[in-house]
Amino acid sequence: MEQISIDLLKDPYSVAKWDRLLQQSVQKLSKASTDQYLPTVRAVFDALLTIYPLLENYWLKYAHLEYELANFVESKAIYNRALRYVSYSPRVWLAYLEFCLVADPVCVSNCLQYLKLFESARSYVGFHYFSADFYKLYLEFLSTYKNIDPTLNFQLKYERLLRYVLEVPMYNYSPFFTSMFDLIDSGELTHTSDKGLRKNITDIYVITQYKAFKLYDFEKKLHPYFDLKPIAINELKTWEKYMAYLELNYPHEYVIQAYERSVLATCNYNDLWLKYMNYLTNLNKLDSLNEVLKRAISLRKFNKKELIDRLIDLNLFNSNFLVSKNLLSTQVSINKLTSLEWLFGNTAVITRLFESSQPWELLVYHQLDNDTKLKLFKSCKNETKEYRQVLRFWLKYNPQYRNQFKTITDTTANDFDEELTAFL
Amino acid sequence: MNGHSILPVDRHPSTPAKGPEEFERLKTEVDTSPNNIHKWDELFAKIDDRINSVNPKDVSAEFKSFIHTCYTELLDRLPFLVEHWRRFSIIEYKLNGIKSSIEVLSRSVDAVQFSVGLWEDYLNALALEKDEKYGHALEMCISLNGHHFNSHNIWDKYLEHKKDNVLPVYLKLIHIPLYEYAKYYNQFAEINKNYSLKDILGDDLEENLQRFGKTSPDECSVIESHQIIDEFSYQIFATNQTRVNAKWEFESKITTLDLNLKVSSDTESDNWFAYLDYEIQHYKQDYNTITNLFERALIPNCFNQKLWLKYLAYINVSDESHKFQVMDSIYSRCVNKFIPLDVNFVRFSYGRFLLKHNKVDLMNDYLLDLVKFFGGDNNSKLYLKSGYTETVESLLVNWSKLVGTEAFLQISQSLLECYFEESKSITAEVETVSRSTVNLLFSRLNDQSILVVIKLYLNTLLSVSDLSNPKDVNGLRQFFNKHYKRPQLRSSVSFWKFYVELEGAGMFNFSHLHQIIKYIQKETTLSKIVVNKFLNFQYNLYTSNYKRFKADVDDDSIIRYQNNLSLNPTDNKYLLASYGKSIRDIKDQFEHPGIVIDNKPDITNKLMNQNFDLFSDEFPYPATFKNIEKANAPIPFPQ
Repeated sequence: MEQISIDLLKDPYSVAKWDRLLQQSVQKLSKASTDQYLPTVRAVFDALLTIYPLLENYWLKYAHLEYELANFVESKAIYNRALRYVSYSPRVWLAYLEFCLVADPVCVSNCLQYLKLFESARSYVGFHYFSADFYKLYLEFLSTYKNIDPTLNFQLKYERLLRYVLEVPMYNYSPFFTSMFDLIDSGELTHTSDKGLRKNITDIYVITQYKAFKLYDFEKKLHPYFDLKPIAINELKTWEKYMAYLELNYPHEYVIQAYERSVLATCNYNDLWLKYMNYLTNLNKLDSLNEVLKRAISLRKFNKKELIDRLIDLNLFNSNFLVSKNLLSTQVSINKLTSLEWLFGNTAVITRLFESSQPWELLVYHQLDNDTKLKLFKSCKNETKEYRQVLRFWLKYNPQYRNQFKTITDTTANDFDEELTAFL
Repeated sequence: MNGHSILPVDRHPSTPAKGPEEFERLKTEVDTSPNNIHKWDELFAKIDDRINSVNPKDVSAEFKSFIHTCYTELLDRLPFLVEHWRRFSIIEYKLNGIKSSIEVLSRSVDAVQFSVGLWEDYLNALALEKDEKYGHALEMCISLNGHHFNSHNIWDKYLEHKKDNVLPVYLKLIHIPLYEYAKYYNQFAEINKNYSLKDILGDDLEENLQRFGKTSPDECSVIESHQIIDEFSYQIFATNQTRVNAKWEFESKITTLDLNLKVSSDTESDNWFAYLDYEIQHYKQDYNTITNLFERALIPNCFNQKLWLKYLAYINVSDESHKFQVMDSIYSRCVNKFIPLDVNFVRFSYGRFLLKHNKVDLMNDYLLDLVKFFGGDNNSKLYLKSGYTETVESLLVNWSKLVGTEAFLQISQSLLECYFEESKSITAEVETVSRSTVNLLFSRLNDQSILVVIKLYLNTLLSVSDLSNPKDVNGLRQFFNKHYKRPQLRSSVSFWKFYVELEGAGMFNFSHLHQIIKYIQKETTLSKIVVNKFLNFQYNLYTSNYKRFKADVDDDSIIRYQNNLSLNPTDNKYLLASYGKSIRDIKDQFEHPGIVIDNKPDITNKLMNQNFDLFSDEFPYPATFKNIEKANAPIPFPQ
């Protein structure tokens, strides 16, 4: 175990090593020896989940372990922590709800609380393509305790929810229709006034089937969980196309849930995050955008530059200049820094920035006056390929300076002998 | 090497040589895929079987000519197939006797001048027949291949042939780094005492005498003069030995000397390159050995453009006195026979070469022929777009170098006017490029190559413009206004890139840039990658100029520009054009771009849309539907 810990110190992002450490520490654990080993196991889980809070399997394992050791309070706390990160996962919600129903049996005093909990779960995963099990549990709960508190009228709620579920396209949609037909046949339906109900439900079946099939075309090409395996470009494209399809055909809440799902599965790639942000920008939901951006940045280990750039832009747009500047201190982007300094009118700082890091590409984009540019170009000490490219590009539009940079312009003449000699 | 025709393919619209029926199938197959050496070998193996099974005298004249055609066709196409030349000569020997076999061999050494193996076969056959051509052929072979590392057999023959006067041969021979260099040194050491000091040392005589403190050969005793000769020849031997040892490093790694189409090995060609580099670095002045080495290397690597260019580059910097002729012949060899049609650098390099040597007419003829060839004129089905446009570009660039900026603007403008039917004929009057030549190019332009003309025209125009002068800027913008709607330009990356960069980084005119990019997104057929590059460029410009940006453009915000990166909900080129119209179009064509599927089945009063609340008391109203009968309708693909 020590060896693995040392390995992990060198390579803290290797899930395989964490897994081995976990196995070894859990092996020693038994009901008899809890006190001795449990702290270690907890430490390992906590550390792993701090690094990878999106690995829902480990959250579930962790909570289940505590549950098996009859530590209900700890288990519940773990579920709550998990739901902070993976709240859009129906598996976690399902496990949590099942756990609650066992740990805290339903009675008159807490049944309203349970109802609210289920509703809150529905607001996160109610449109999920794999939410059938969640609804099954929900409906089971409503029908089992239908007589527990007459004022709450669970029977009616059961009927309403069942009717509602019929319209949600999902993987396993048909059992709900069976239940509905059973309900109609049993004659226990509270509202029986409508004669054509059976026909109406059959028609809903046709529609839901049609929609579920359409979604399945996308779903079958995706793997819906977060893991650390690389994702094929085709899969990312499918996600994007899927989201575009939903944007066009489904209501806003549905699309948001779907986007949350997609960024959960593809967290380490920019594509879906950016698409999500574009969607929010288009709807002018800038507060949500801000929240999503910050979340994305906090979840990412690497490759944050583009996201931070966006956050800076957003803050600039909102005129939060100081926030932007602070962000720049976490991620030095010379381009943005010079732009900002220029906005504040600090040309002296710009010159100094150039002297230290020489980001020539910026001179293509920055509309500094030509004298400043000329001075900057002249100050170059080490003529890199990039420098030559940018200078040539600039000279293209400012021919009056060409004679000051003879060496650069002359090589473009493309002499035959020189060209051929390059092959020798 | 015949003139400047450019056809590496189809030089022999073969008079269909009819073979026996069982060969017809194979013949058709090789005709359809003439580069497939396996198919050819299959054909030849079958021919061999047939020949071996019958008496050569019974073979019909028709079949003989069929075999002849087969081999000729293949070897015309791929002349460096040494092994096939051999098989051809053997089969000729069997069928028609030694005379025609020699005929074949003589053709083979013509085609593969630097294959020592074929020369040996040829010389042996000539010797056997006591042909009077032997002497001449041998001289020829020595002059071509005397510096070939493995040419000892030839030299043996040569020594035999010249046995009356071997000394000059030996004096030359001992300097050449050959595989059997030691043998010749020993032979030389045996005979050299028979000659006078002056005969052997030649011009080096005095220098060597001085080292012995003598002024004339007569002062040396016999022993002394022997000593001088020994020392002299040993010195040559020692230098030669170092060189041969160094060469052996590379020679030992060469596994095949002939062209082999069945296996391709990069390490093999790398070895050749390393070998050549070494030789050039250390013995740059040894022109004969190095050119011979190049020619040898080209036999197995004849499709390798880099090697040809290296060869040309070497000759270009060498002291060769007939540089133009030598290089011209190498250029036309590689361009006409070997380099594949999708590798064109050397072809254009040839044009520049002709230009440099002031052969303007040759250059024009050559490149215009090439344009015609790539452009699929002349009833050939071939149309190679990239080769075609690149050739046009190369020709125009050469012209602009030749005639200078002003005249070039005149030419290209005139081409454009004619092409877009604004004027009836080419009006440009330039001294060095005649109007008929420009007309000839004009007749070979098409919608793709006109884009090249536009690109070069714009770049030239920009190079003489001063952007601080409104008049010059207006000229550039007027060109845009005049042409941007032309259908040809919808797919032109260079045209749009030019104006995006001009308005962006040149003029910093953000509202123009904005308009251009919007137009590109809506109306052009540029690929998504290109459009995204433009958008990125625009984004970088905007974020680099917050100050300007905030002041100038108020209807749109920075973050919106970023948003453009995901063009539309479908990222689909076909729908891109319709993006401006309505979201409905996109919706209807989402699953099958180009096919409108409206009337999708749906529930019209979805609970999902109405913030379904479980705490209400009513049972949901019955659902209402639209288009429910379409749920299983087939997709209306066009008939």
